[in-house]
Amino acid sequence: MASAGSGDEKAAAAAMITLISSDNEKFEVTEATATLSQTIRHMIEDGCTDGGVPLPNVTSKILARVIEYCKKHATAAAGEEGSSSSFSDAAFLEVDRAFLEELEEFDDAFLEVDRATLFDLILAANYLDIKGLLNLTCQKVADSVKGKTPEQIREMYNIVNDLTPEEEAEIRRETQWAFE
Amino acid sequence: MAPAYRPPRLMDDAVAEILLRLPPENPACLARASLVCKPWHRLVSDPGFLRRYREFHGAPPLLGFLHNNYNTTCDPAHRFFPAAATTRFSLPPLDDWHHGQVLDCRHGRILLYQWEASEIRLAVWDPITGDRKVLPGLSRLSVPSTCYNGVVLCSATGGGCDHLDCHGGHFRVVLLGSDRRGSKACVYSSEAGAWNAPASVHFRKSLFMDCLSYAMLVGDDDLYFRIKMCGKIIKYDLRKHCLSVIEDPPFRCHYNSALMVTEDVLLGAAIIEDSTLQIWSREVKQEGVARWVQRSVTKLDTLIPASSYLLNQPRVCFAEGLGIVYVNTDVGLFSIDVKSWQVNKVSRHRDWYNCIPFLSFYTPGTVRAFSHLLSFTVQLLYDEHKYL
Repeated sequence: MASAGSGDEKAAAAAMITLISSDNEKFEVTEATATLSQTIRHMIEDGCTDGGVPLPNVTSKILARVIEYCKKHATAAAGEEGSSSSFSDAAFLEVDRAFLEELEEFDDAFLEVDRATLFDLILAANYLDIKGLLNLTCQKVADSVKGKTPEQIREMYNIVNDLTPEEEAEIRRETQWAFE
Repeated sequence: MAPAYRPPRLMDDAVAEILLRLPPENPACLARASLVCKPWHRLVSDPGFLRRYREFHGAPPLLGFLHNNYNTTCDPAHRFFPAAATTRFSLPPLDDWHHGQVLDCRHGRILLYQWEASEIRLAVWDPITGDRKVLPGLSRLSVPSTCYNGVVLCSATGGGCDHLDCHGGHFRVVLLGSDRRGSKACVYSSEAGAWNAPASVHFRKSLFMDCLSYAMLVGDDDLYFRIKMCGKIIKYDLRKHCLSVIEDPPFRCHYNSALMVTEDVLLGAAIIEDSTLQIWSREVKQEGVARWVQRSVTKLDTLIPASSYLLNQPRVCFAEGLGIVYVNTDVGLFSIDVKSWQVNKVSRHRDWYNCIPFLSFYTPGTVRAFSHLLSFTVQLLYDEHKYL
């Protein structure tokens, strides 16, 4: 890891970005945290972050959770990078495993939210283009959909069935085996 | 608090991201999701979704096995059974080809054979798109038909296609026929729409013919067929269009064995002999001479319950692309991963004659999407013709 107080680290610490939620709340985050979002990374590259980054699609409640995720994963990524130069291979693997286990535990706890929040997190992850978060949240919903009937899925996610009986019959004919 | 603005486009994207993560080895999940509502149905039946689904998951899953019935008068002549107890999937019925025997299944296509006195009738069927092409009949004089087998392959070579889930492109069919004196091979190309002149090889002494096994493709160009009882392997070189004969590994009995492809892309063979599963590979030594080398011998009772195979002779087959040996016993079909030696009981089904793995992605509505596209193209051609 770089020694404390080095010029680089000071510069990195100084590079803070302000994110502004749809309800006008401001969040100060490091560039390392913010750039887990490809959308924000592009904005930084284009120099469009002065005066803050407005995120009209993300509420403060959801943005706080998204930042929590990004902070954890940005720290883990930095830790992994730093550890490779200061540990032996075996120690590095041990540290690597510990990082991964800790991240997994964090991710599991992070997903302990109600369905509405989970869905909002998916929308935010998609809009902000945060691959890890999108994968995590979408996989959680996919796992919950996996063994369910169409009726159960509709009920879980409050979806209205707008298929006509004829359309429904046609789809069922093709995929009869799925309902046996 | 101001309500968040959610553009509808984003919703579709988010749903697509979720549905992309449904497991391809259980196509019933996507089938059920397609019945939730119109937007979900539209999404999963879009050919673009199938493309993304393939890219996301990489190699296609094993959906099941095709096998031919012992009794050729059975209707239909071939059957499909799912890969695992948890897999729900079935192939659509094949109206006028239900008497067809399955010769091969590769690169998303199934090669069917229908008996006719005067000629060999073959069809290539893509059960996911519903596309089916009946090949021009091949005279029985062109290839010997004491025993025969065929292979269907995607035409794209040299990196033009990764063959992970080919649909809709051009294909080739190799038909190999043998009698006591020799073998002949003909190739049909869908691009040319015709069979080529046969390549042939003569045996030094006349061989006892029983049946030609399901072929193995090693690398891009080498196809291997076995004449089971006499311990000979016929190699067909796709690039050079020529045939040659090589010996089987030194097995005492050649019946309970199958050709395979090793992890390092060599021709291999798996056999059950003396209650062991043996893996062999054909390796080229320094002098350029190829010979069979035994790679492993594993006691069968350490892999599958002893009672499963004592009752009868087990049969072996190999799933190309998966590295899995399947052993069929009196209590059902077992899969053995020859890399990890992980064993699973795949099916209670045991009444099969051959066992051909079917690997593919399935997304609902593909058949209809393709048939609509086809009728649209036909209509376009018709319209074009009308105004010429």
